[in-house]
Amino acid sequence: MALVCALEGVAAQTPRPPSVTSILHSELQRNMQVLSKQTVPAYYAAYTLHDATTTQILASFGAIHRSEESRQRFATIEVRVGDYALDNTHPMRGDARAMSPRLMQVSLPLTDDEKPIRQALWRATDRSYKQASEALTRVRTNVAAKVQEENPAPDFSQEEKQGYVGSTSSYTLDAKGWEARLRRVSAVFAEDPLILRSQVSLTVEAENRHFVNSEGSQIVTGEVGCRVFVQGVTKAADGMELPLYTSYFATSPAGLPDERQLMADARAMVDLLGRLRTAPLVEPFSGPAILSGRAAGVFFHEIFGHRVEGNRQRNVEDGQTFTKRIGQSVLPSFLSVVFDPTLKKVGDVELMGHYIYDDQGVKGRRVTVVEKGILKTFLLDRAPLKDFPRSNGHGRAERGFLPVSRQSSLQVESSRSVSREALMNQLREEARRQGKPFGLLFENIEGGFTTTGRGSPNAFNVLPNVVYRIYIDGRAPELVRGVDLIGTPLAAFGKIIATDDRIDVFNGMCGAESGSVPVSAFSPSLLVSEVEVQKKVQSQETLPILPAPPARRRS
Amino acid sequence: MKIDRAAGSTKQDPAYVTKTEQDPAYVRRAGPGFWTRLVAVSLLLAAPPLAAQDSQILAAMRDELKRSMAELRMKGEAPPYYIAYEVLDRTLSDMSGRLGSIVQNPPRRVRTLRVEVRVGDYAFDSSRFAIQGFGGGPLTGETVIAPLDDDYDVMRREIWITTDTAYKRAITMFARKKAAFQNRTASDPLPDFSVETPVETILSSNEVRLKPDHAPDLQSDAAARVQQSSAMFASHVDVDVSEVALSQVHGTRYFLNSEGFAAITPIQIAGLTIFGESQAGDGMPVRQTFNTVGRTVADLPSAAELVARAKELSAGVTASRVAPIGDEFTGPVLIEGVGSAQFLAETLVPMMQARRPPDTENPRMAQGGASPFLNRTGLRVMADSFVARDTPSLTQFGGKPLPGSYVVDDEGVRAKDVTLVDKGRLVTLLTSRTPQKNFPQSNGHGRSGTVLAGVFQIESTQAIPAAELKQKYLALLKAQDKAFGYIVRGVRPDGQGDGGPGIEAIVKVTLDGQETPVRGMRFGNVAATVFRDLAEASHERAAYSYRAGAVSAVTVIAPSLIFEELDIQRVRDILQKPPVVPSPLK
Repeated sequence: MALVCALEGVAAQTPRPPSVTSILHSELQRNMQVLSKQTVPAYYAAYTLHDATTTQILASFGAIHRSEESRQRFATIEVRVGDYALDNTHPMRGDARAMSPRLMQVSLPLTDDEKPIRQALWRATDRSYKQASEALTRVRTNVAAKVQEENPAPDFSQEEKQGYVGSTSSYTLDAKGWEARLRRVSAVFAEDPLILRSQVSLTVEAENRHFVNSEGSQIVTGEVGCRVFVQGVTKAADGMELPLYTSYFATSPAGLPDERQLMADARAMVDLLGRLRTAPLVEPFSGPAILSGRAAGVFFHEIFGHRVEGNRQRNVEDGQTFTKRIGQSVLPSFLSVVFDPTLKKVGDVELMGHYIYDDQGVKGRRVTVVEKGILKTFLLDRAPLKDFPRSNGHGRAERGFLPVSRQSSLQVESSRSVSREALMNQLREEARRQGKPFGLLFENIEGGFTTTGRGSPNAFNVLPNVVYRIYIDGRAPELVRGVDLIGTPLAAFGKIIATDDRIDVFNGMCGAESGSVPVSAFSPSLLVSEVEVQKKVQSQETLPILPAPPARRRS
Repeated sequence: MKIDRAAGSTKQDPAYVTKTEQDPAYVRRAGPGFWTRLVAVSLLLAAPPLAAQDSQILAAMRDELKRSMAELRMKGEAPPYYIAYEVLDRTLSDMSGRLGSIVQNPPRRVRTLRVEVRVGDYAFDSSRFAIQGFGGGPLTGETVIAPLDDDYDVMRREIWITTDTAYKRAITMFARKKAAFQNRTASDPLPDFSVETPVETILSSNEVRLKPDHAPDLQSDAAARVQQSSAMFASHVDVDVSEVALSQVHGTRYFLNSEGFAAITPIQIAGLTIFGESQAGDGMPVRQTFNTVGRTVADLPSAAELVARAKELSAGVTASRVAPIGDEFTGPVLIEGVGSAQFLAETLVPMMQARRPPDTENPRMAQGGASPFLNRTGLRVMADSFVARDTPSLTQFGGKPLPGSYVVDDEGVRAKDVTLVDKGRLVTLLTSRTPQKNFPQSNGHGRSGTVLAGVFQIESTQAIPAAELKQKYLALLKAQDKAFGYIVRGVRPDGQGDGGPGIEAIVKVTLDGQETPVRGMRFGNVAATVFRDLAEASHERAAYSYRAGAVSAVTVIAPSLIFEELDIQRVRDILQKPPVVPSPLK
């Protein structure tokens, strides 16, 4: 027996094929033996069992709102009918109401009992097969009835079978200790009566995944993710809501920041919220700006990353900004963009975008999408493109969704980097050159969205929440509020003129077609010669009518 | 035991009658200074003293209520005339079993706060008005997750913010409602809210103060019941899917309003469902369900009883697979045992609830759903020999506790026992504080945001022994020249809009008394008039309870019944082909 007896930790059990994998495997074989011989034959099936243990503790203004532990087991079932060239997942053209293919999902008992697991898988496989065969009928008609496809590629790539049994993961957590800690950290926000909403939460999840498919792959992986999320929302006198967020990620509870740091960061947030409340509003403006490393990471994720996802190049409804630009310049020549799921850390910061295998059982690979400004490839799942027949391990999905090509850890690399100080000076110079009294510094971004479809303008809108005016006359930076950063992608990338040498990491969840997946993005700060900002959507709700109630003394 | 002597001068509420000695309830009329006297009263009664958490939560509710009524108003707008706070402190425990293996999560504790603010006055206020794109329905209050810690400051802060939101919504809604009504002429103006005499109801119960780590032990005993009963299905290879699911909610409800109503009541509901489904050769799904609801897990059937139920149910599913599809039929129908109570739950009970649909901004959005009996007071609605009552005070039937029983409704009004139908004539309907035509006052049935029965029962003064019912039925069939009839033994809600309830268990019976199980049947639309033609009822009665809303249950007690005329139709399901691959259990 191991002698280690940590209070909190992550346990890795000795690798050994768990029997549940063999149950999945044999039930899959049993079903495929019959389904592959039908008139509309199934040619591929995959089962993934997700076994997740989660602890969530949520505190607000000094009190616990939720403290729960749960364990759940689900299986997702994918059945494909037809063949690798044309199957039920083929994109339907000219039918806006066509349902996108979904996976079947069933809950399973928590023990490795064969009968109930097999019965659940069998039922779901049957439904999945029937839905797939109905879909194939629609696909075949659609292919026959519509104009010839511009870029026909097979629907499913051929990949080598994989065998991998990683360690399954679990964690131990001092829940009472964390409750007390989160109470204390969240109580900091109660000191400001104008912070109307606030929460401090801890989520720890151990997920063990068992993947088997009809091509012979068997993969077992286990991961632990721990996240602390801190949020505070205040309101300016004009009703504008001002939210700030901070989050921390680690692969073990011990890797999370200690209470002293959490308290300090909470106090800093309370202070910043107070200053934001009285910060002046920015009028619509165009001019030079710096995006800090985190902001630049989010910016690239939203505006660039989503446009190099392979599935968008297949979809004729999509804007396909980059589809035909392989080998061409898409970014300034001093920038490269790499997606690397194999990377676990940057400096001390662990990355949420890390994984060993993607959700289609393909090994995650480092992919240089842009090298010195030139577009080299796309992020690929098992739906190939004409010149890219194989996956590069970016087929990802939230449990229950059909995987499509998604981002992992995005990394912006620069060969034209200067110090932060020099970059600030360049910003002032650029503003002066353009005859502007100031440039903008986007210190933080809460998120953003972008449309890539053809039916609407291909624009982006990112939502900065900490913005400063940097005056050319050397005045101190001035905190401002009320702007969104808008633009169109191709124009925006051409205007990046320099970067600094400080890498900053954004860890977060990204939502798209295949649900919400963990991603990372990191980048140096970027100097952009021209950005455009517009006024934020503003809440018309006033401040609370009555002042906060008098606090009783807390004993 | 009922006590009413806190201030020495208040009177007993005559409407409140406790049926069992065990019920540790005390109730009294409200008066100023009630909360400060509370502790003294508790000591006097040697009842469990109110725990610190009660006083923290209640003090926060009371203080913010007082401040909001006194000071909360927006310039140029009406102030609130009514504010109510409800805190539900619940621990939820769920467990399910499939083929003998258990899926279970640890219990979860959730506290919610609901704040209701009304502006206007009792005659015309911000409630009961539906606007497109405003969350759809009328305002029922703002509900938020409240802190689990018993912390006065944090609770009061939560109440403050939520009251502010609720008030702002109420004035917006009130403006929209006034605008919509200013050019309408009301033919039949009814007040929006009834005026009732405030009362305080404090029920102490041992379960009230349970923390999640003291949750009734679902692990051992309940797990055994779920595990053993679900394991039964493993040997019934023709049942394609089965589950045994158990859930329990327990905790406390705190209610306080600006009129002086107050209530602290225990929340206690436990339910168990056994479900089995298969497919007939023609693709028709056949399913059977057994539902039971009690106050706690201890009230639910024993493991042995559940195993027997599961066996019976899987045998039933297996038999239905090969049973013929029945013929459509209009004529006399015998509904037996618990099936009769289930049938009434789907048909007569809703008709007895005087629900009033909200007014709407766009009249095309208007919802129906008013009781067909609103104008029938004094008129015949059932056969002459029938009596229908709702008796929330009845806590037990046949030695079993009744989950539908309650003391005070969600609006703080004391539950009244009501005779609804006497000698077949309608006496009254069940009401809440939302006045309905001819029914201006509440009789304490405002629950789950609507009107709900508590313990609904019918009986006949000319009842006969159940054993004689079938002969009576066969005679009736013969008199009507029918070649066959139907005996229904299980009824379930049916999602399909146009018809009546679904049928879970039914046999075709020929005049010689021969019974043949059939499948694929449901009731046609059940008109309000069919109860006038009830032919017979048994002495023996069965109770059926079901959950209605998050923390409420309803019990129906009914005899087996022969209806003169009901429609039995075929279901119109879209049929899926049976599974391509045989079951792994085979």
